[in-house]
Amino acid sequence: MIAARFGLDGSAWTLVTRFLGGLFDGRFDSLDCAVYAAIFLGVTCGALGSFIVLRRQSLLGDAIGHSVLPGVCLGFLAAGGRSIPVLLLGALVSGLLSALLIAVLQRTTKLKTGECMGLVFTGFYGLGIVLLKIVQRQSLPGSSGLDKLILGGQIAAISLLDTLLIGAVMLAALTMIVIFWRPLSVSSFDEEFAQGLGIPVQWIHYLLMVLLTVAIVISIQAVGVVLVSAMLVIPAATGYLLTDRLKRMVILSAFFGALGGVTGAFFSYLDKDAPSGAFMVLAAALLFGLAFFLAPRHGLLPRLKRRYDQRQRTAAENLLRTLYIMREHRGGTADMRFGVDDVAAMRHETPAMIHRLRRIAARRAWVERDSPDPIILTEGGLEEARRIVRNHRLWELFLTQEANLASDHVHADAEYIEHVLPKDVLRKLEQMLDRPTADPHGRPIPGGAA
Amino acid sequence: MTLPHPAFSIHHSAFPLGSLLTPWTPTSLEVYWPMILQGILVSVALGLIGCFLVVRGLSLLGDALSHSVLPGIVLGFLVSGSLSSPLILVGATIMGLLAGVLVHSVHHHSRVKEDASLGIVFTTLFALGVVMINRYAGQADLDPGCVLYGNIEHFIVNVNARWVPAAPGHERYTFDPRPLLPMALILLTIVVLLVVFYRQLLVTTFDRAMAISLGINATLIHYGLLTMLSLTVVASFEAVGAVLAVALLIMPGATARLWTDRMGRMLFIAAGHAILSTLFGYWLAHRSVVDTSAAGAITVAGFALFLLSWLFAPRTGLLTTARQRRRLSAVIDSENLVKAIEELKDDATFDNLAKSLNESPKALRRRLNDGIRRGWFKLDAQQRVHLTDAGRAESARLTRAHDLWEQYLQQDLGLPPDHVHDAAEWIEHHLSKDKLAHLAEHLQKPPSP
Repeated sequence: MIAARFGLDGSAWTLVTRFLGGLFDGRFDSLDCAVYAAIFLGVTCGALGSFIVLRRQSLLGDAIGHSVLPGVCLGFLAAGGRSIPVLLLGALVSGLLSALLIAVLQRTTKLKTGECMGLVFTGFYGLGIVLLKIVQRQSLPGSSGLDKLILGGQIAAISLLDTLLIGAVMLAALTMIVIFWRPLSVSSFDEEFAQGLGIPVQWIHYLLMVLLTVAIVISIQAVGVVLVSAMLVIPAATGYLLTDRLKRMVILSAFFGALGGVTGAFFSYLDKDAPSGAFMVLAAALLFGLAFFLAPRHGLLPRLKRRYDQRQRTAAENLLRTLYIMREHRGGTADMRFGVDDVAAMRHETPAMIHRLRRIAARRAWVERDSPDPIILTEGGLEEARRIVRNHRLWELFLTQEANLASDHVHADAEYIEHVLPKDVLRKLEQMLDRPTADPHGRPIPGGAA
Repeated sequence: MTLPHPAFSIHHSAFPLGSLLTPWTPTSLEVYWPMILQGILVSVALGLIGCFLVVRGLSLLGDALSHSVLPGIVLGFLVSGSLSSPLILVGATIMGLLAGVLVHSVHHHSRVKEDASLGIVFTTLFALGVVMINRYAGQADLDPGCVLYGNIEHFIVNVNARWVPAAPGHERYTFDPRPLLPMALILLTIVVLLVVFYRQLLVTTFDRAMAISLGINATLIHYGLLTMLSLTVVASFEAVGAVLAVALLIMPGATARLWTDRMGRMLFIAAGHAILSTLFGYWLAHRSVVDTSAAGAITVAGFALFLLSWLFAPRTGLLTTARQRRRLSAVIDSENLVKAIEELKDDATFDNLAKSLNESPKALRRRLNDGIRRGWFKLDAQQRVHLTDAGRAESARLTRAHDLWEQYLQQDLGLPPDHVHDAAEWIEHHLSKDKLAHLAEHLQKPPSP
């Protein structure tokens, strides 16, 4: 299907193998340039992006990205053609200028950060469009490719020199990150704390701004000015979903940036005119989508599953508590059988609901699996029931004794906490309450192993 | 969409590029008015909505929205096959609202913060649109340039079809206003909605809790605003493109914000800013020496107007406040000089004053001249400085202000006597006549010395 779209023969798999074959054929050609450039800029943007995502300044990348346009056009006019170093220099100057102007406006007006960014980058971008039209009217050599520089980038057009330049920038950026690791990371998490440690927060901010601008400038050729911010934000946000440690986040973000970059290079290899930046962004977005749903700790589906499990467990534990109390009423006999109708009456629920709860408890082997009615509590189930009741009554006692609540006000709270009380807290409660034996209603607190 | 088009040939032949600035003439107005009118409609509509985005702190949502509508536009275009089909409006509005929902759900259902969520959603949707254009641009006449910077010149091309000679030898343009109609309708809707729901908009913007207690549905108002925003952005897309639409959204509101604190005035100033930058932008793009994209030039003009306001706006302008501060410090310096002369009595020579105020001769000379101009003191034959009656009155006022404030701090705030001098030294320059009278009354002193 992909092949048909791009007017090539062969299945997607042969395309990939051809791409890889071209990459590892021992010759260093334009394909290798594009792929290496993509990896380098992906790593640079991903690593630096981690910091701006943490600092909640994700849109700064967008602002600087748009703002480089007038510099690019002026560079084009000054060089009288497409001379990459001059373009990059122009871009660098106007990018830094916009960052500075944003900072000044923030300080001197009552406008919010968002407005300051929006004002500056659209103003710069408008100027860029004005200049762009002038460039195009002059019909200088290579000016037709300028549109590409803006909208989607074109990584296929990257030369060996550009690749080396991007590689050098990557090395420089990574070196800076390593050297300034401590101030960068501390000030990203807690600016005031960093200030208290004597870290020059303002200078660190400027350093990051300069690094960002450089990263954006080297990326515009491959990604385009409108989309360059995505390469900063999306891989970093993906890393953010996958880990809680900054070091790992930076490494993961760099990896995802490189992965997105190579995907863009692949599509650019299939079709030289394809907007490689758009493909990079879509690939990175796909990875983000996967992490958004599947990330083990912070992903949507694992979180939903955890919540579901917790609800099920709570439901089963509530059943156990009821059974334990019924057993208490009988005088704690060894008879572990409970009629479903009796349980339903006790819990003010329908027998169907009790059956549902029984199945959930049976899955945990707390009640006998093949006895729908009566429900038969197992040894393990009794142990568990004792623990729950113990949690409940200890907490009620704690609330009446230590928090001075009336004994008829504590049940609802204990009902909730009995399911989530950790062991060490329990131990502390016991010590605090002098190993009690009766709850505020005068019912015994079952002894536990703890 | 390049323009091999009479309007431009007239322009170039009648006013060659060499002549630097060419003013508007009846002929040029005749050619350009549809473009100008469209520009004004677009920028006023965006500017009015933008005011609410600016005060609600949502301006970057406008940015995100205007990028996100791209796939909707391409989709509508591919289905209908025409850029003027209403399907485009529908597709893009849906896409805009979808983007709003996506941004909300990404940062609501994960640990990703709102700014990153904005950045992810709109770039992804925009990239999708770019890829769609790239894939299908061959099959359809869809101009990627339009996405970048719009093409408001298109409006002359449209009306040009009806370019007819009115009389032999005297060619006139007759225009069909229909292409302007959608934007005019949208602007009208915005104005009507603004007038009808002004109170609700105002209350939900500034005090959401109060709005809810008044029974106003704040969420409904919010999404209504977003819908109008998407509609307007899409309708103006063809004229100004994605990014410049953002410019026209933010700039008028932000500029007006510098001029006033009142919402009603802000709306009018924003509309004025929008109109001015449109006119100036057109002039820049087509009547001055630079012949360039009108949409880009409008943005540049709008930004220039903002920067001017930033420097010169009354009360908040950078230079205005700097001048006020300088004037105030000059007054304070002169007043301190009055006190120094009063203290030194007959020894108030130039050198003594310089010593007592710890001041360079040059600065002191300037201050003395300033005070003489105010009529506060005069020089005698020995170059000693004496206070005039006015100067003595001034000195008495300062002393009185100083004393009253010291007493106030001691009596009402219970500060120890050695802690009040510095504060009084500073505030004596800032207490107005009313405040002094009030203070005297409060401390049960006679109203005047």
